[in-house]
Amino acid sequence: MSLNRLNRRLRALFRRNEVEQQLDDELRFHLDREIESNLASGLSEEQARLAAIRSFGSVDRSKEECRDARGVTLIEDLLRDVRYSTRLLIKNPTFTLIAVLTLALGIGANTAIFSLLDAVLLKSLPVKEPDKLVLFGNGGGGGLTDGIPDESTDLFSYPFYQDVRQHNEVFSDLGALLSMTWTVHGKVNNGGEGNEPERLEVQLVSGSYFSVLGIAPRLGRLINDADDKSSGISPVAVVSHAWWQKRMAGDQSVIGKSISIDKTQYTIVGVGPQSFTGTTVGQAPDLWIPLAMENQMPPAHWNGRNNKIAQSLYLIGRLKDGVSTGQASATVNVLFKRFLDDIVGTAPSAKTLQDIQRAHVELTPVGKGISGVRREFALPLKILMIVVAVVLLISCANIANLLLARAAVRQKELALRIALGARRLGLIRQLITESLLLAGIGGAAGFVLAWWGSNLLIMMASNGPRLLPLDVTPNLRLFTFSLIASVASALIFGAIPALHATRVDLNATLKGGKGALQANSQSRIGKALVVAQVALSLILMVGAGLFVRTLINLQRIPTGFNEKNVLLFEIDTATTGYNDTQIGNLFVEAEDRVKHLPGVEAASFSFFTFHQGSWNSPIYTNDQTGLQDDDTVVRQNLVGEDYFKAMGVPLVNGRVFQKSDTHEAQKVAVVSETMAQRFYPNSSAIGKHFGKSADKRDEIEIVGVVKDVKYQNLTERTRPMVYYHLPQRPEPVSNLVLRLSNPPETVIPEVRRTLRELNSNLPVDDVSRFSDFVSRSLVQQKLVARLAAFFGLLALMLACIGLYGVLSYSVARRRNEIGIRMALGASTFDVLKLVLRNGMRLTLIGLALGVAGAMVLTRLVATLLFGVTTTDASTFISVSLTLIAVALIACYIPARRATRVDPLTALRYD
Amino acid sequence: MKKQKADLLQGTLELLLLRLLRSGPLNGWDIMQRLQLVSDEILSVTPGALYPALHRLEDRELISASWGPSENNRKAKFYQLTTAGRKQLETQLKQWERFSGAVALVLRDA
Repeated sequence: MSLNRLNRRLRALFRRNEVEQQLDDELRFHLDREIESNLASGLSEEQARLAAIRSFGSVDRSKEECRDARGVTLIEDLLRDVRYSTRLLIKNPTFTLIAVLTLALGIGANTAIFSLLDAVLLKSLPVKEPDKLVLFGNGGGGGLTDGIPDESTDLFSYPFYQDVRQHNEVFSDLGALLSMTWTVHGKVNNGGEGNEPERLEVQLVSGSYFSVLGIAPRLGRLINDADDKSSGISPVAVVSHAWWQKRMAGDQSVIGKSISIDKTQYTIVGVGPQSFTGTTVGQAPDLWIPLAMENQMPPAHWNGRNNKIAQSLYLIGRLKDGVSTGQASATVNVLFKRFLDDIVGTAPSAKTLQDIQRAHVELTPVGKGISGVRREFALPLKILMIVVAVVLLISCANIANLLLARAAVRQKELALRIALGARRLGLIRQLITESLLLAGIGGAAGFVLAWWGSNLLIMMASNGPRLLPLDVTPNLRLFTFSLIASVASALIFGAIPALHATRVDLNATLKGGKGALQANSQSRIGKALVVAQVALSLILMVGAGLFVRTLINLQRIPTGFNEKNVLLFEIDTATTGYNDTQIGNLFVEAEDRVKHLPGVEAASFSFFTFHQGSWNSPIYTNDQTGLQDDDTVVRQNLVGEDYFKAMGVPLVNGRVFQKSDTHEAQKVAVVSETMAQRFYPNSSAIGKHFGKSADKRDEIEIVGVVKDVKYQNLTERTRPMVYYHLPQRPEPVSNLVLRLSNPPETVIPEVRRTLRELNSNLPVDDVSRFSDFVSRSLVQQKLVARLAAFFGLLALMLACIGLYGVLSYSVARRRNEIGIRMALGASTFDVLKLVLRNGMRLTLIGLALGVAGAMVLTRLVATLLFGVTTTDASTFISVSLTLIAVALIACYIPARRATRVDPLTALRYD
Repeated sequence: MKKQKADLLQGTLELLLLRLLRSGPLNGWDIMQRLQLVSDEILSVTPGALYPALHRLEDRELISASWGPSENNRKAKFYQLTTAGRKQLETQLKQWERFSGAVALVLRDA
């Protein structure tokens, strides 16, 4: 574009008045010449003027086309449309407010759910070329296993990591990390202050971990191969950016400071980059420490460095350029088989050989992080995403209806503008601009709402008092998402009325009639929208109903514990620096002192309570004929003397633990009913013996049988369980359970004080009611049920507002008709019936469509349901009845208004 | 009374306008009169088509505009060819001659 031309366009844009004036002058000159010429040919002045105007045609249209020719009309029109639309929106504050609020809610909900979906499912790790990273296995398991794998496996030993790292041609490098983080308590040596042990999340990583990911430190250095050369060599730590900011206020001098964990002092050598929060979605370690320090790390002090069978690591490889996952997988599996063959030696049993045959490694892409929370939340989040999208659609239908009704009011204005030469496209553009403006304001409000909403969602999705570390701060992707959602909504709710309103029958409208045809087709669209709304909201409500039923069914499942008045303290004994014997003594003393506090009925330490992980291993009795290998695997727990009393687990037979069951006394066990039945089907279990290895089958004597309890989650099948007495097998366990007779508020401070008196280095982390603890195992189901119910009700409300709007409009439009009917003797009841029938017909059509749709769609959520089928009749019926009842109310208000029509006024009206 | 009018072929208006302006600056009304006169009243253009066409040519810098006194001594907007316009006219004339010659050939010999 030449400067000249640009200049002219800018002038056209910014000196519009001058340019317009010139256009006026030019055309006026033409008209004047025409008139002069007509006068010259002998016409009268009046005739000459009219003839000139006639021959010219529409002046406004010519002007419009001249403006188009200047090439700036687009911007100019846009500015004009925006100005005009703003004026209109300000003039109709109620309409604007309703539309903006509805949209803000709709777009906000969509953005909030999307932000979570993005964080859990879509976001790539902030690492170099994330597409080239593969995980060995699919990140399914976590912890330590020491069996020969017999299927697709996720956990690997340190020697295998070294083996693959040295002998492969497919990875440019390989990194390892412990498959879980350790929660420890450490003291930051910060020069005097800050001597309280604080909770830290530690991730142990190999020296190659960071270089494989291709991450640069924010400060200092990251962990490297030199730190991981041999066991215990390098007590260093890299701290996370978040921890550095929170704990050190971003102080540069953090490098060189140290943190004491257990008996080791770790020097802080670096700070991770801000964007990097670890490779597992839903985990955010505070510290990364070399795997070489594994043996020094509480609470477990694992030592798998030279143990080929201690499999506890996740392995992440970076594919070499040009190497496919398939090639890499072949190489890895060859190495894996060779490694296993080497472990089992020369004469493996037939079963072992079979197992090895089945064992293999599956390589999965890990560019988006190890799955973590993904498995639990992927499907629910996708479902919720659909739910909120439908809610937005229903909101759009409402706004479309409002706009349709308003377009009817503006029909004359639009007809006039078309008659004066406005082009239909121009009018459509103006109406769409209005919609975009609405959506823009609504979307902006929604974006802000989403910020708050997504934090609320994280709170709802978090399992306990500590929030899931998911990053949902507003970013460009979220912004783009809400922008697209806004524009899409504007097009959906704006296009229908815009296209419709501008198809005006000029004559009929301008003649002053109401444009009967027009109004009819308009209400047809309105009605179709309402039917769709009712159908969609029914589907959402059915879904919500099923999820709520699922939650109720789950909550009714007894755990086997008496959950009332049970309090759970989570503590960490690693900071005491005691050995196991000292810890055992500490437990006994602590239980003894705590249970004598006022308001405490019983107190006991335990390894596990509920939903805390599990410890499964086989036991050996003298006669286990008829039992398969897998049948001998039992769940085990370590508990204190008063455990069964504190947790309310009833004793069936024999006795529970007592003081005399000491370390030196005969080893005893209490077993569950299922255990007793499985191993001793024909006799009492009491007095029988079993062992934890094949050569010690008489080691432990069963002294009692208790009722079965749930262990991991509410829907598990009952499995045999064995309890050991903590003083006979002291270990640093972390749960202290109390049965209370006083309210917890009065007891908690006393318990804390007592524990501190016993040992000043005994941090108490979390205190929760055990019932809350149990309900946390349902966090996913609760999230889904609550949100689905909320959005289902919202959808119902929006649909009924739509119904109400359409009926109100139709009543207003049919005033004359109703007036005439009443004048001709129709009773109030007749009129009421007329309107109600109208509304209920729409409702019932929508209902039928919705039921049909729900029958099909609920199948998508079958795996999320419990104790209720996807076509559960009672849910469908109760939801339908609710919908009909609310719809009746929505219809009744306009119907009632119709009966108040005064025939005289109505007939005079219009 | 009136001779039958020929519809302007799509795109030919531009060529005609450029040709009419070759002899010197004209205002809109003059152009209209001149077109009718020169074409022996067979071709005509309405103001609704003329002015947008002029504005388009101006925007493409094939013609330029200036304000000056008209015959009856009033302020009018005069259009004149630019260098680019002159070139464009030559090209389009050649194209038109080839085109109409070809059409004539076909009509005569086919």
